[in-house]
Amino acid sequence: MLFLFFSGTTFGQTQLFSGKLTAGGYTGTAEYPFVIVDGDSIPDGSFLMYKSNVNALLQEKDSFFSFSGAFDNGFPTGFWKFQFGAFSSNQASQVVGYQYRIYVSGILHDAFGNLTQGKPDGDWTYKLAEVDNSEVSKVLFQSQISYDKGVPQKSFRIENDSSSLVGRFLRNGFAHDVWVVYSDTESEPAENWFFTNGLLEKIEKITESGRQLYPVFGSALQQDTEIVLDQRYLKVLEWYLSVQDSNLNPEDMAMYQLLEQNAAQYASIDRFFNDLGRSEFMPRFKVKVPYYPLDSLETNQLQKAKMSFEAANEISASLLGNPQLDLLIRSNPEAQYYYDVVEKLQQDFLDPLASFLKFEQQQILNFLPQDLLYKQIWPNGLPTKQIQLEGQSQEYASWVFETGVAYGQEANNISNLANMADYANQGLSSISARLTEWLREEMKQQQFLELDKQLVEETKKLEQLVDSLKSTASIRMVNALNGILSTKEQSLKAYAQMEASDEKLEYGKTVLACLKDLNQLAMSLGNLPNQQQAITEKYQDAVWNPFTATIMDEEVKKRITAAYRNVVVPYALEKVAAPVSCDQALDIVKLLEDTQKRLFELREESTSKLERKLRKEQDPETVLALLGIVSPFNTAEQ
Amino acid sequence: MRKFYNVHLIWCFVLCSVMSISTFAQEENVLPEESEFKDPIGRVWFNTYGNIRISKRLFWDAQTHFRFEETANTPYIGQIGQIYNRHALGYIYSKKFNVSLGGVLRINFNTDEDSEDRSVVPEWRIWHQYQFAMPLGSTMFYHRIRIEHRWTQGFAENSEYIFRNRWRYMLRAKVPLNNYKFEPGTFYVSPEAELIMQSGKPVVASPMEDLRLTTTLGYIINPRLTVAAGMMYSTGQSLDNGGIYKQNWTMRFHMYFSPDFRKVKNKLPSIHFDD
Repeated sequence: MLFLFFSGTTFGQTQLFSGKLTAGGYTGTAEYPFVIVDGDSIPDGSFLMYKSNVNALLQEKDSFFSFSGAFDNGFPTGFWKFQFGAFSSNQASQVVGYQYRIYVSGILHDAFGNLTQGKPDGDWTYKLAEVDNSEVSKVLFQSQISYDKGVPQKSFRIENDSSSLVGRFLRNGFAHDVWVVYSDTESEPAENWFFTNGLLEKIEKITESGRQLYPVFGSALQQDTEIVLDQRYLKVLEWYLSVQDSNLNPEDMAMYQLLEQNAAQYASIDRFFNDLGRSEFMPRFKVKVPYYPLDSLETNQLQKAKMSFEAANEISASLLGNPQLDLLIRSNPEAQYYYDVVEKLQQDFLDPLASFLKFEQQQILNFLPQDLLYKQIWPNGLPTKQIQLEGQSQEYASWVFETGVAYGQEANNISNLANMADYANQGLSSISARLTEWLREEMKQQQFLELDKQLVEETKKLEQLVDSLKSTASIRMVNALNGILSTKEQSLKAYAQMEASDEKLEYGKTVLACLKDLNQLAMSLGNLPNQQQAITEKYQDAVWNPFTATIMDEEVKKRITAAYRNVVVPYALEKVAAPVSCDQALDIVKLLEDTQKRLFELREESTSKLERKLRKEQDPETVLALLGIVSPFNTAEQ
Repeated sequence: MRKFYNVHLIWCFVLCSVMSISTFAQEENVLPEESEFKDPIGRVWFNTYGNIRISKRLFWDAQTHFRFEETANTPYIGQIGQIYNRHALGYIYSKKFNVSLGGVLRINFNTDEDSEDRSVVPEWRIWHQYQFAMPLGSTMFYHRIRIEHRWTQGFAENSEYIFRNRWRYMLRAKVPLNNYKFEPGTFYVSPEAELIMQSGKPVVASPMEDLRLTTTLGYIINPRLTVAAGMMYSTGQSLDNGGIYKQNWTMRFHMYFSPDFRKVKNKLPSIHFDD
């Protein structure tokens, strides 16, 4: 249907793409025709994409690739060839005919075969080789598989540098017969996997100590289902094998490694196809596994258990990983008790649940016999609601959370697990609430300590600044600085007299902010001489005096500068000396900044009218208004 | 800079040549055996100097002087001797050099109380001037070459105009006293020496008309207004007898003003003559 749809809509003109392209993690030059269908560009026609860089090769190493094939309406179709890898050169070159020949060494991936409608069709070869001086020195991996429209057929062969796997499929793609792994060093098979119609009957492992037989699914098999031989299948096998022999790790088996490797190599090509068009390149080796489906009730319970577990696990992790709690338990035995309970809940309730839910996460729970699984994880049944703590005084020897939640101790159904998870979650929530309260108290203490430290620092800074400014200040300035000190003293006194409380903490923060503001104000006052100097310099005009034949500076717009010097600045200083309130400190800083800014502007403006108005005007608010400066005091008083 | 010195040198050369020619003029035998120096006369001058900026490079030079001299009946300030109107159009070549060209109308008053001749006669001049400024440390030096073409007549009825040329060179310094540069509020002392030579048919044996040695103390009120006061000794040959030297002690009071009525935006380049 899809194919027909696209065939029917490709009336658009075919265009040619030629340029830089990124697909499947590869970036290089690509050339291919495409058509636009519903705003999407669909590759259609022969395709070429490549990258290689001689300079990089000669300097250090070149990661190269070259992909060629064809698309039909977005589906890779026909013969495709993939070559990629990384080469380096020893820089020795040789001229042969009209060409330079450079010998390269490195790794070369080489894959080729046919596709039909995006599915491998016919023989596919994937080869990974080590190249030394332009010659293949070692084949690291090779797989040869035949397909019929994506379904693996007949016999196949996968080998790496240490072992080879030979097996075969039925026409319908199911694994069948004996899949044999040979070790390169032995003539005898190392592993035999016996499939019948997709179902793995047994695994035979031949070691130096002899043959070992693993029935794999054994007699547990009542109902089976079809899945793809992929990571998931191998996880299922892993579990079944671990039940039979806990020392046997399937990941160590050659078969496992070869299949893994093959899947990884195919995946790199699959990613490329998926970025460009539509394909199902991954081989679908079909197998059968035991099937233990959950009913809808069980599925619900499982979801419930999962949610409770996740919530509980989060609380537990945040408590056990809280550094403040870690400190608190050293001084507070009750906190220590709760901490121990949390640890115990984590160990006895959450960790086993995590092991169980891992299978759900891997999507293989349906393929495992649950009663066996329970026995494996909870051999002694579920933990009791009452937790016993060892080596503690009577008072702290046990813990139980009073709640309506109950669960049977037998580990035989998901419902019990869900209730247990719920119990753990509720218990942890209540412990968390209790501990958080303590932590908040503790934090408050810390905050007071920190705040007091900052207050002392800021006060010291302010006092030092005021001292240094006083040494060169005018009387007016000294009065203003004393105003700052007086406000500082009053604020600190009020803070010191308060009882320790949330209000005090809040108030302390405003005092700290006030001290910072006062510091800023003191700095602003300290900067006044510089500001006045800057304004004086700004109001100089260079005038040519023909009688001395020199250029001389002349102060201009004197009424404006006089208003600044004799009215605005004294006004600001008086406000600070008043004394200034915490709220006003920054207002005055801003007033002084605004004044400088405004005076700089007025220097360039036409001001003859303003100068006339300023004459004899002594009222600071009127002067500020005339200068066009917003006075914080004027609005406050209004 | 080099250009100014070149101009300067040429003018020195011209001046020296003129002086040489004058010195070799034939002298009358009515000359006394020895030079005779008349008794010094006291004078008071009130001078205003205007330098009114017209454009980036042009200015109007406007000077009005009121010159008093003592007579037997009017000691000290004396009576008005001349009212002197000097005007010119000036061109500022650079900060260090300017030239002027203009005219003078001088009103001469007859200060001879016994005379029965006319009491007022006009005197006409065309003048041009070349002025150089040279900074040396905080001191400024000025060279001024002024050439005047002068038509004068006596107080007697129906006097004929006589024509003379005047060749003037002045060296002046201005030394700031309370500052390292000239600024509003600066006092300065200004010594100056000017030699005035003359030539023309009526000038037979008296080429050195006047030698003026002056020192003034000035105060810069602002860049546009300066006041100064000083004392000048001057001496020179009488026109009718080169053996007789006049002498004067003159108190001088000066006001220098330099208004600039141009709009602000036009003023801006005024300090960058060389842009």
